[in-house]
Amino acid sequence: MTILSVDDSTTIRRIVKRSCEELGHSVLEAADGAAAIATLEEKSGEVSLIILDWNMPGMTGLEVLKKVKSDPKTKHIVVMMLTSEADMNFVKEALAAGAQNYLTKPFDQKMLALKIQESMTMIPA
Amino acid sequence: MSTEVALIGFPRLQEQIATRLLSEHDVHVEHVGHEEAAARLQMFNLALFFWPDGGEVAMQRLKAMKEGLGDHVCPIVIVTSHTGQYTAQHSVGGNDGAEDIMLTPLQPHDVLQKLSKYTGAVKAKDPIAVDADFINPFVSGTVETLKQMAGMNCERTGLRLAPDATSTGFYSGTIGLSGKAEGFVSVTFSKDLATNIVCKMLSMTTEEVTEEDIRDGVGEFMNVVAGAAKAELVNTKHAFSLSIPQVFSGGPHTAAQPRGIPVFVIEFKADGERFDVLVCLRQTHS
Repeated sequence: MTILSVDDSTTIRRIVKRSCEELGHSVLEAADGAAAIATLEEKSGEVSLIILDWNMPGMTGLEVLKKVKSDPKTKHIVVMMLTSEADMNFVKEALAAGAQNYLTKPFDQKMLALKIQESMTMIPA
Repeated sequence: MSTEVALIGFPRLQEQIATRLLSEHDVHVEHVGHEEAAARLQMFNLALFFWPDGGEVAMQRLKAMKEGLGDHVCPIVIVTSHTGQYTAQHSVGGNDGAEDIMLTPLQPHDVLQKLSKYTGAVKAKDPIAVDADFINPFVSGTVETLKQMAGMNCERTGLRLAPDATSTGFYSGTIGLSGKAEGFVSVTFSKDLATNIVCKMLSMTTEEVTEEDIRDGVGEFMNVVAGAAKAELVNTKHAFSLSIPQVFSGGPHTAAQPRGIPVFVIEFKADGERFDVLVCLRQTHS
């Protein structure tokens, strides 16, 4: 399966990429919201899961999430937020906007792998 | 007549913190050496006596001070660490003992309480400036982030107040904070420690990791620490939002600082090397 990792930090994108590849998935990367939307316009059929940061320059992760979930071509894609925003109000807002999973930073590799696997079970058949 | 407070035998960092906290009240602070303390204590309304971890010499000094006081009333409050309190607590109470104990790092509300209890003459000039309740979430955020993201342990080794926000490490990451409280938080690492941490975060060797990797890793580290602290402070008067982190490399860097607001420098040690987290936060009226 293909996972789109959206984070302005190359550190986080690398950590996510390594975890996804260890689980046997391929990874596309985007450094901001606009790049993520552009990638989805081109490859929405390939992407099964988006791992999405919240605080990024330009579009926020929440704005990207709302755009993904309002577009018939992408609304089926499972979205997992991966963010330093650990406040419960943010979690609720993301879930209300259609995110299916939420992992707060800091995280360790095991937890990330677990959350990715959990998110994969939410992909529609 | 102003309240006279003596700081006796304080090491430099503890003296800075105590002086800063006391300066927020209408008291006059004087630093007094051990050798003159017994003779001069009658001139003061309150004495804060620094008690090192080993207690035998301190016990003798306390006894000498009490003898020097005679019938004059000057309460003596022992200031000591969590370790030092085990020896100090035997020297509290009774005719020859100190009146009370305060533990380091000194907390604003403890200082206020002791001043109020023993001198009755307290007037906070600016309670916001010395309110440091927001420090602990940054400490726990730092410890947890290093543990989770890099598999490294660290310990807090000190806390002090600095007049400006100069980061002395080679790599410094800074995040602006805004909302009910505003200011910034910075982390500053030596080149070696930053490289080591980022290598562990990325599971890379020092040969593989690039300058850009380290800069990004330091920024992300700061972002995660600030996020963790933000979550703990969300329902308090210190609630804030995060900006995008900025990273500086090459040596000392001074962040822009809200005027008149002190910078708390939280000192840590990881892998035998020191790093600092600087926190400058004040409440806004929004």
